[in-house]
Amino acid sequence: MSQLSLEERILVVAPTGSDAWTSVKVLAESGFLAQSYPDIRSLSEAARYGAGALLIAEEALIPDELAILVDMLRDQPSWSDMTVVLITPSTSPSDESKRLYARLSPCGNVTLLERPFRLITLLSWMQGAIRARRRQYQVRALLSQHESDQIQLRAHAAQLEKRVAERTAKLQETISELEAFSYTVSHDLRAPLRGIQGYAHFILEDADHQLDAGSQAYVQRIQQSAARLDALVQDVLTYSRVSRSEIAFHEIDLEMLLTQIVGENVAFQMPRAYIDLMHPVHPVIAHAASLSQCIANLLGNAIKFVEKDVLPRVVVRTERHDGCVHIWFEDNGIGIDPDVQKKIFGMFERGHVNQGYEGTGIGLAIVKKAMQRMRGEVGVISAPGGGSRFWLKLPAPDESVNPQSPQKVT
Amino acid sequence: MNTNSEGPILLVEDNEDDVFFMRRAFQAADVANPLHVVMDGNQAIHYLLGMGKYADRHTYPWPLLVVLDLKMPIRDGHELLLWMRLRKQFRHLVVIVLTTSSEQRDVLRAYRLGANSYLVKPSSPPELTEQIRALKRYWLGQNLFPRVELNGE
Repeated sequence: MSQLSLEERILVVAPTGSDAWTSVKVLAESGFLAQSYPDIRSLSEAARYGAGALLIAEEALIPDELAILVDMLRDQPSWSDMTVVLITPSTSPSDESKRLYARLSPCGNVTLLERPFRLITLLSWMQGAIRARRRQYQVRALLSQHESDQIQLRAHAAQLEKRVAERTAKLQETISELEAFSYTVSHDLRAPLRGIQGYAHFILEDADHQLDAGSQAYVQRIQQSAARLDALVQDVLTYSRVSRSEIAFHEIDLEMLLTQIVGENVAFQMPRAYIDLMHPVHPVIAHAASLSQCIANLLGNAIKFVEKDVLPRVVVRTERHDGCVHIWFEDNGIGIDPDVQKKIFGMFERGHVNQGYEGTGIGLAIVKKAMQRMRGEVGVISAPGGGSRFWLKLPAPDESVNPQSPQKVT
Repeated sequence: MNTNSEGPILLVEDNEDDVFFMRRAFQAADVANPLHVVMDGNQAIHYLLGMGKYADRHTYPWPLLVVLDLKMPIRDGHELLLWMRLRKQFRHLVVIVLTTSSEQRDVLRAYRLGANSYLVKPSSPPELTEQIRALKRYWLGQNLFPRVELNGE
């Protein structure tokens, strides 16, 4: 028997010769697959292998076997709600019929068919029962599809999680290697550099008179080269630190930070430079050390790239709109050619090569990397001879959460 | 000058160039205290314990303070610091870390292990001389050292 016919067959229990018995033949003639069983026990057993509906004459339901039927109906999976047609003895249901109905109806979809019934009624009822059953089979298919999807999804998720864990471990390893690398660079590479600088210094100090002007200049060149290499090494280290260090975000009081940066560096102070902070000063959300590095680098550039004998002036302004703060650094420097403005944020790119300005070409790359890590941006507006206006864009603190914050920094 | 600050300075430093620069800086800064040099942590332990040739305390007296490099072979500065702080007779010895590292983890670790000061080596001799002058002014001029007998308390 095929799976389909097994699942759509009508299982019947009816005493031989009764009207129910007749109905089996009628059902078969009408295209149903009806199978007759001698008792409830064998019917319930068969139903567990698959059935479309059950047709039971009430007189076949002896009390001992009622429990077996109840169990079978209760054991149905969640999608299943098999129709049970119970043929009752008369139009006015007996107490026995009511009792049976009360017992069976909570466990299954029980319908009473009262005698005498017309065959057409029986056929239409069975038709409905099989139709309903087919719908249940569709639900079953959907559920099983859903279940297999779920299993597949879970397997997929587990696989993804495993891959993430593997990648994280690998990344962690790379970071550790990088850290070890920069540590080595900062110590082992810089030690011989200090040697070169030191001994060159002592040659000039001790043997100054014995050297001709050319040799003196060479030793000075050695010192300058060593100093430049040292600056490069330090900048590369700063870049790698900015790229890899863990950063935490806080509300930053820019006025305090700027005062601190200027205070720590005499090159930013009068008479060497004039740095002016315009009010009001809007607070930003940033990582203090990274932002401090960015500001120091921008100020350093601003005061470095000026015409000879011009006092470097930098005006720092903040503008707040759309939940962001722009910090502007406007200088009176030599300006930057539009062609190189985009390139200056790259590693080792310098906007003023061979014009007598010292630099490693890493300062702005550090700024860009730090701003990226702080979910911010950096940019510049400039024209040769017209000064430069560098800007940093950072998230502003949420005013609704902390309404006092804007007043705090003025 | 504070008589409390007499005694040699023990420099623990593996880099010969740095030793040379330090000697010159000590000279340039007119530091009167003799400078003794050991090249790694183990030698420092031998010196402190008076082992081998260091048994002669006239030539190798008990140090007033230790200037300690961190990055050294065999036993590095942090390890030596730990070794000292775990021993009663060296727990009070003033240790000034002088290193190339400005990494926070090195600074933190040194202080956790009981360093008394942490200095970063400058890259040019004039700066180093200036640093040693400052060291002399504060540690040898202002600071009061604990008075301890040769073999511990």
